[in-house]
Amino acid sequence: MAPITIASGWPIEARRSVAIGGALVGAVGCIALLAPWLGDPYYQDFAAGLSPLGLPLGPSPAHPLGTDTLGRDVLARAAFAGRVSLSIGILAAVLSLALGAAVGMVAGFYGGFLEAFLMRLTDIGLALPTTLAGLALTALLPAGPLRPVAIITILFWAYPARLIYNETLRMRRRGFVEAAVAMGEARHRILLRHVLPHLKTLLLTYAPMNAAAAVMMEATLSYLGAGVPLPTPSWGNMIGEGQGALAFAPHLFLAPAAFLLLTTMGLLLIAEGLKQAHPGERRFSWLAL
Amino acid sequence: MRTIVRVQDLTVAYRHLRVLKDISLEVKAGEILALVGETGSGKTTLAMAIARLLPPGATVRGRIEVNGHDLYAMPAAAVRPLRGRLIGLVPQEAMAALNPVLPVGAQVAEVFQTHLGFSASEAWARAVEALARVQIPHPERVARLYPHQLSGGMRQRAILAMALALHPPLLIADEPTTALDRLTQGEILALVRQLQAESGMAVLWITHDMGVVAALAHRVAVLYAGRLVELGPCSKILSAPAHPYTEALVRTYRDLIAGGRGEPFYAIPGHPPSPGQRPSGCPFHPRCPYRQDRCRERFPEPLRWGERMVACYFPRGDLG
Amino acid sequence: MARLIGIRIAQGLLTLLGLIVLTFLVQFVIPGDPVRMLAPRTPSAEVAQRIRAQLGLDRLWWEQLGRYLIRVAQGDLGESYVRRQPVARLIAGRLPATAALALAGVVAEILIGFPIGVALALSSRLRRWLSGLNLILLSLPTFVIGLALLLALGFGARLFPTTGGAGLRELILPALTLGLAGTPWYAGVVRDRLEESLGSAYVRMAVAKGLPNRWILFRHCFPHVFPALVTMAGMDLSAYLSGVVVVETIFGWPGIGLLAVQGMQTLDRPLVMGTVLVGGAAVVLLNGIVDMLRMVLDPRTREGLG
Repeated sequence: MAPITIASGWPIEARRSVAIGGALVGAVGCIALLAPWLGDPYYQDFAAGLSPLGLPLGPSPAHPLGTDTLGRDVLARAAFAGRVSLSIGILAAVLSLALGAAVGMVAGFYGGFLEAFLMRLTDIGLALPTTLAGLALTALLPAGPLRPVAIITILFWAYPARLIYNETLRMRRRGFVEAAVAMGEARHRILLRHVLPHLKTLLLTYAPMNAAAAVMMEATLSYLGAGVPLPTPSWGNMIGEGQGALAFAPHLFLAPAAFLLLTTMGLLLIAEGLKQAHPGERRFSWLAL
Repeated sequence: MRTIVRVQDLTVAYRHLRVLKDISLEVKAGEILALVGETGSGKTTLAMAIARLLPPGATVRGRIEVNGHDLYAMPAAAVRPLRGRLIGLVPQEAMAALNPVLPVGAQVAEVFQTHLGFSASEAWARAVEALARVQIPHPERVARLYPHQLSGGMRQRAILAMALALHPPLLIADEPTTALDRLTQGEILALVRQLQAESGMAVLWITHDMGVVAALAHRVAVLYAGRLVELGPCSKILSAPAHPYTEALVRTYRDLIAGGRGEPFYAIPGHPPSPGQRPSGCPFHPRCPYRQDRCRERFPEPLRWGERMVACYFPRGDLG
Repeated sequence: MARLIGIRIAQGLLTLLGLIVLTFLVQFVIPGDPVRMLAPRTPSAEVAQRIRAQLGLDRLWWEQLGRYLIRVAQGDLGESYVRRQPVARLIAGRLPATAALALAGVVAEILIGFPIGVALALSSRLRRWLSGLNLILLSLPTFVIGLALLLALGFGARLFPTTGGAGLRELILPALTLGLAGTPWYAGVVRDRLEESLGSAYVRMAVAKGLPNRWILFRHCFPHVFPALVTMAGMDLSAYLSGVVVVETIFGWPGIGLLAVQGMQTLDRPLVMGTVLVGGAAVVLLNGIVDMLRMVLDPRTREGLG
């Protein structure tokens, strides 16, 4: 017997979760959009931007988040980094999800050789040691802003592919695809008109999670020096630069880390809320009796 | 005879869904009461309410006493050790009720370990005895098997052994034989009758099968859409049902037994109502051939005579 | 059972083969001339030709693939362009350190994640706080967790060394980092399986038997969680074996991750590809072992063994 379930509607916590998450991501997005008005991320102010001893400055009215070791304004850099990190992360998230969904759907729907081939490929994709493979691809691909996008897409597509494949397969086995075939509909039309709409909820809840993971991956790659090339700021390479100053200027680490945390937490809150919006079952414990 | 179970004006609801309404009945020591009803009539809810095993979120009004203990007036911690000692439960679907990763012997032995403080080896020996008591062949060997290695009948017997391990004064069995074939079902029923006669315990047996009722029960309680509609001795109910619903149940059962004479089987017209959409007044009225206007308005006051009770404005037969 | 194991092994081998072919393809097919990495400054055409012949780059691609497969099968992962040493030997030298760190990471993950998962399933009072903690840990990439620990416990409280090394004291912070990064996942799985068990018919039966809650939890519920727990620990062990890159970088732990970063920075392709291959093999191998362990742990599949 399956655990007894109590059905419930869209709970208030789910809506609150989506709203808070959206607000966090929106706030970071606004700061990123306003970047050009927040200062010059490249201007090295060795005179007023550093202390008399040549150390980075803490927060002040002129520099709300302080300055870095080269006297650059941290807020301006973090805001610009937001543009870079968000656009790379979200672009890679969309591409990997689209690629994975396409692979999973085609493999699960058409079956046969295509299924065997694509799912073996997916297995390999899942077996790739993420960070190591990211480094290897960095060594192989030409440098540029699109390199991290390509790397993250290559590293991430297999996960949604597996997920969508399982779901598509379940639908194929449920038999209504066969029914549509019997009604004389073309197979690719069935895929787009019957299968895809059913996957919408799944894709919708997976998307923000995937975006959060992609933003984190971008940060990891930049931190390791495998992301966008310096001096273009990204949260990851800012943290990498700040690491050396951890002992005397921790704000160089904390500021970009906070931006990163707010973004990924916001995305995960959205994902959490969307998941709860379609509650499958609520469990309870017999030990409570 | 001593009264083991006393249920008074019991009403159970899950959130806004009223599952049981104004149920009152008693089970005495030494008797088997069959609780009959269709799926969704609330019979499992009634059984679980008596054992205080309803899922959290259920609201219970009324009074339930088991062997003198008012279960709902006690704190949860005080009820816990009474389960197993006071009430033996045989739930639906033996396979799901057994833990798949523990040998059945261990699942019997743990009752002795926790309730009586026996050591593991003592408890194991007692578990083997308990399995032998429910007529499991080679109990030493079977005790070491996992649930998936047993047949359906053996699983049911193992559960029975757990339920009866501490010789509780009350056994509640929730359709335990439904999933079994007729032959195995007959064996289990005979076993329960024998164990009941030996121990003098009270048995509350839930079923939708009039054949099981006829073979097992001393008394019958008929539940329809959360209402108790008829109560009385088994022989009387089967020979002269008073409620139109009971009459229909008995008629379908008769037709099944006497089947194959070329006459069409009798089937009750319509469908049982779901708990969310129960009709007003007497819930059976949309399907009742004898219904009149007043049936739609109010649930009838129960009529009592002798050992019997019926809740109907127009009871069948002679009530003398 | 034997058939299932056979299929699983074949699947693993196929994935491994695919991984090898993939590493070959990206190394030799994607543009970028390794000759320039090896030769001093701009090589003359003659020197370039000699290096090409030496590396076998002048042969047909499928011939190269065949030779590559044979070499990998013999444990030869090529020679590092930069360090002029066999990649296999370089990796083997670093493997013990990485294995120790991965193992310590899994231990930390279990020690932190299991109690949190149990608390999430059992206590509605703690659920709010622990869910919040989980969300924060889930939102932070591993390197940020590591740096935060370094900042708080290394520089702040001065409890741990901040300079790197390979001793036991140096192991604690990186292991804690891995453990914290894995905690929300681990706790989530524990919570999920435990809740499933707590609402099951056999736990209701155990309650009906009048068993104490603690007994039910330990005897009936935890065994239900255990297989998932082993799976998770095994998967994470493989993930850590291959994915400890950032943690090794932060804490200066001399494992294969650090090797890979250095390889990447010097564009040392054979070295980086070697680490990918070893890491991927670890993932495939450990996942296979975990699957078989799970089959053995479950009495429903186990009986086929005897």
